[in-house]
Formats: sequence, C-alpha cells, structure tokens
Amino acid sequence: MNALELRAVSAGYGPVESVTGIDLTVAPGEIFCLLGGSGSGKTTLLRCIAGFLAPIRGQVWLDGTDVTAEPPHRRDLTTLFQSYALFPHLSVAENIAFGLRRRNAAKDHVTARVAEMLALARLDGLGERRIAQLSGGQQQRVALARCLAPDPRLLLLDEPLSALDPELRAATRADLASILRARSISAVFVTHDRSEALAVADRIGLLHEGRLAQTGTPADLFERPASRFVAGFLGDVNLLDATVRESGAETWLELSHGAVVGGPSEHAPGSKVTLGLRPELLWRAGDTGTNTLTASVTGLAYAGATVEIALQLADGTALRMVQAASLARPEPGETIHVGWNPATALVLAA
Amino acid sequence: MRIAWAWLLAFVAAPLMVLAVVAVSAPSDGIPPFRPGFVLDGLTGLADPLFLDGFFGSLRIAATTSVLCLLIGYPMALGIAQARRPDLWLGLLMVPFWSGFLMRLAAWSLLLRGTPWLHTETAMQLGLVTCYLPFFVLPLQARLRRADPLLALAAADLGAGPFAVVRHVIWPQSLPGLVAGLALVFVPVTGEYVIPELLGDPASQTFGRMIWDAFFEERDWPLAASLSLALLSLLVPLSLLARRR
Repeated sequence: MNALELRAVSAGYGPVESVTGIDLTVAPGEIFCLLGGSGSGKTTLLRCIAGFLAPIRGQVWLDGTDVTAEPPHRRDLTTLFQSYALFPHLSVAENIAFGLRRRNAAKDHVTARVAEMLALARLDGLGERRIAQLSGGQQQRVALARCLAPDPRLLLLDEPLSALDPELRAATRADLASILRARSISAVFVTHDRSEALAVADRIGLLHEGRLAQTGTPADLFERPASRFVAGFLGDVNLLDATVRESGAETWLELSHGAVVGGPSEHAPGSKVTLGLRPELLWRAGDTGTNTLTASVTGLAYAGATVEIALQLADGTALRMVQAASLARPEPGETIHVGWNPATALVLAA
Repeated sequence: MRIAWAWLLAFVAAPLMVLAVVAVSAPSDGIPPFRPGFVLDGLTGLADPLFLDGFFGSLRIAATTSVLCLLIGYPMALGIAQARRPDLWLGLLMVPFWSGFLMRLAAWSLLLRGTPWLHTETAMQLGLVTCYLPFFVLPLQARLRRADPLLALAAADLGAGPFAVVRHVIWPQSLPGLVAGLALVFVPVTGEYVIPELLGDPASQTFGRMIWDAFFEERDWPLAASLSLALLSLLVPLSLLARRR
C-alpha cells in the first residue's frame, strides 16, 4: 500500500489550473522530492495533499484511503512549513505537544513523547523557551519535532531549508535526511533547489508548468533525462543540434562538423535530436580522435576547486567545460580538442 | 516630546488640578457655586451608602455591557478579519456613526415606546451595547487581522478542528486586542450618563447620573468633583492595567 497516491490530480485557484493531471505514488518510508521552479505548481500540489486546497479533478489517497473530501485536520499527515508557522504564544514543548493533544493523547504519553522529540531535535533543556528566543536553526528543529510528534503517516516538507543561512543549510539537510531515514518516514519534500533534491530524495518528480516532466531516481533524472528541460534543470548542460545516423546502445550523431557518439537512444536514423554534454563530464582530448570536438578558448572563469572554460566551435556555437583547477589550463585564443565518454552524452528529443 | 508634555499639561493635568481644587472647596450659593478652601465635606460625602450603591451598580452595568459586547463582538471581529473584503464590513460597522449619537438613542426610544422595555435596564443595555460594540470590535479585528493566517492552517494540519483552531490559536493571540476592546467599553460605560438617562430605569442610580445630579440639580460642585475623582481613581488604574498587556 502506498503512503500517498495522487490520481490524475488537477488543481489551482479560481479557473486557472496550476497543476494538471498529476499521477504519483510515494511508497512507505520513501522520500519523494517535488522539484520545480517558481510557478511550476509544486506548492499548489502540496496544499492539495495537505487538504488546504480541494483538487478540481482527481483523488488524493493516503495509506489506501481516499481522503480527497477530508478536511486537513482529519488527514493523518503533518506539514513542515517554509516559515515554520510555530505558535508564538506557546512554549517549545507546547508547540511540540500540539498535535498530540489534538489527537487526545494521554498526558503521560504526551510528556514522554515531547521529551523524546526534544532529544531527537537536539533541543534538550529548551522546552520552556518561547519561540522568539530561539535561533533560526532551532526553530526549524522545533517545527520538525512538532511534525513528527504525532507520528503521522506522511510528512510534507515545504522548502524546509530555504529560511536558513547557507552555511547552516547543508548540515541541516543531512540532519533532516538522516532523521527521516532512521525513522522510515514517508515524506514529500518540496524544493526548487536541484542539489537539495539530488541529495535527499529517493525519487524526484520534476514539475514543469503544472505537469510532471519526469519522475525517477536522482540518477534517472540526471543521467537519463527525458527532455532538454529535465537535463537543464538537474544540472548545467551544453545543448547541440544533431542528426541521428545510427541508434541503439550507442548513437552515432552527425554534427555540423563531423560524426560523434552519444549514449543510448531509440531515435530513428535521420531524425533531428539534441546532444546534451554536461560541462563537468568533458575533458581535453590529446588530438582529433573519433569522438572529439575542436574548439577555441574564449575565456576562463576560476571558481576555486574548478575552472570553467568557455569555448566556441567552428560554427560559432558556445560550449562550456569544467575541469579541476589542478589541471593545466589552456590560454584564451588557443584551440583545443574536447572529448567525452559516449555513455554520458545525452541524446534528447530536439 | 515637549509638545506632548505641554498638551498633557494643558488638557489633562490642568483640568484634573481644577477638579481637585473644587473637590476640597466648600459649597456656596454664589457663582461659581464654591468657595476655595480646604474642606473635606465633598470627599467624606462619598461614604454615603447611596453613592456606594451607584458605584457598584455602574460597575455591574459596565461589566454586563462588556460581556455582551464580547459575546456579540468576538464572532463579528473574527468574521471581519477572515472576510475577503474586511474593509467593506468594517465600513458597514461604522455606518451608525454617521448618524448622531442622540439621534440613535431617540430612535431606540421611539422603537421601544409602547413596549414594556422602555426605561428598563434591558432598554439601557440595548442602547449601551449598540453604541459601544464598534469600539470593542475595532481593536479586536485589527489584532486578529495582524495574526499570521498560516498559524491557523498549521493548527488544522496538526489535527485541530475549526473550534480547536479558534480556542488554541486564534483566541490566545487575540487577547491584547480583546483587552483593549473591553477597556474601550468598560471604562466609558462606567461613567456613562446619557444612555441610562434616556433609556434606563429612572429610579436606578448610575454613577454618571449621580455626578450630573450633584452638578446641575444640587449645585454641589465639591461633591460632584469628588465623585468624578473617585470614578477616575478606579478607571485610570484599570486602563493602565489593560494597556500593559
């Protein structure tokens, strides 16, 4: 039985549909990331799952039960809000106990559970504090503890790290992921940050203009993107127009200046496609081998551990490549050869 | 800052001083009807059980009005705060203020004529509540509108039904506005003269009416000033207490 199942959900405000025909499932204990830019509809979808917004069409199933018509307080899930939404008039412990009390938990159980959650969120000794007396990181942990205390079937996280300082974010992200995994919590994690999604998710659903562009594991989306949009959203990518000469386990492609090899594809010979090359998966080849491009260096950008090299192909197309800062760098104006492992070269629909 | 002090001195401290001077003067038949001096007749006159009755009677009436305003006004304020167009509803709440205060009371008096309620405590409370309700609703709805609507969602998300959301999240956060609203009702109603006079039972004495009678009927200004000071000494600390929240 799935922790969450969305069946053909369309939702929005007024007559406008922000999301259309969303089908997705979250398995028990799975962390599912809803990834998308602003306006992609990820927050609308989250509100539908929580029950704050009724879908225009489709159904929301929690744990094998259709909850589409249930109000938020009758759905056994909790939400970690972007701004935390902690109750300012209650202490830390009272905030954590809120969900338990609404479920009429016995007093002893509430006390024990609050103590457990305070320890889990590394908030020992802060139970009597007011929310305003806590740092941003502590508030984030109170919000998490408040969500987990009633032991919900599903946890929704709405950009839970975006209010934190960048320095704190990476550590908190690791913390959060390990807590969710240790307790096998089923979660829907909404974010616009691809590195957050790649690091935290078991599976990612990438939303684009209200539709799921692709659903799969982080590696699926990064290494086998279904479209140019997915390839570009998950990481930097150079996109080159190409024509298929031969397809299969490897694809022979015709570029404006010669044939090169890309990853597997099923595009028919003669069809127009896009070759996607990730800058960090390109290298300097010794000479003009079978699978290389010749380009002139137009600029270098030093980024500490790496150097980004801006290149230009003979036909004027710009290309970017990233190499370790420790390697010898070409001079601007120099002509170099660029190679790649065919398996990592993406063959995408044009 | 200096202007504020000057303003306070001219319009608050100075009149209070005049009131204090009159309170310890001796009554006289001349104009003005008191002789400056230091006589405590006015102040000791307060001990008359008649005044004590009026005093507690006024407090009871003000408390009743406050409770009625709370019961009627809280749902109103909540409705305004959560409405799609709160300013429209707020405007409607203010419509009665476009007509004169006395006109509204005269209207009540006219409406109640021929019923058994005119000149009873019921009619008086009707007048008091209708006149003072906006003063209760105004600060309360302002406070409610300032509250983060996400908190109500968060409470529902954690399992709180609509009633529990109000009880555990909205109500506690509205308390400062609630206290301000109650003070705006309780304090003036305690000293209210016109409404009890026009709609209330002529036999029942309220503090406001006793001050009026002392000034205008008996022309005992020292007694009237003493009564006013007694009322102030109760209401000023009460207002300060309400402001401290």
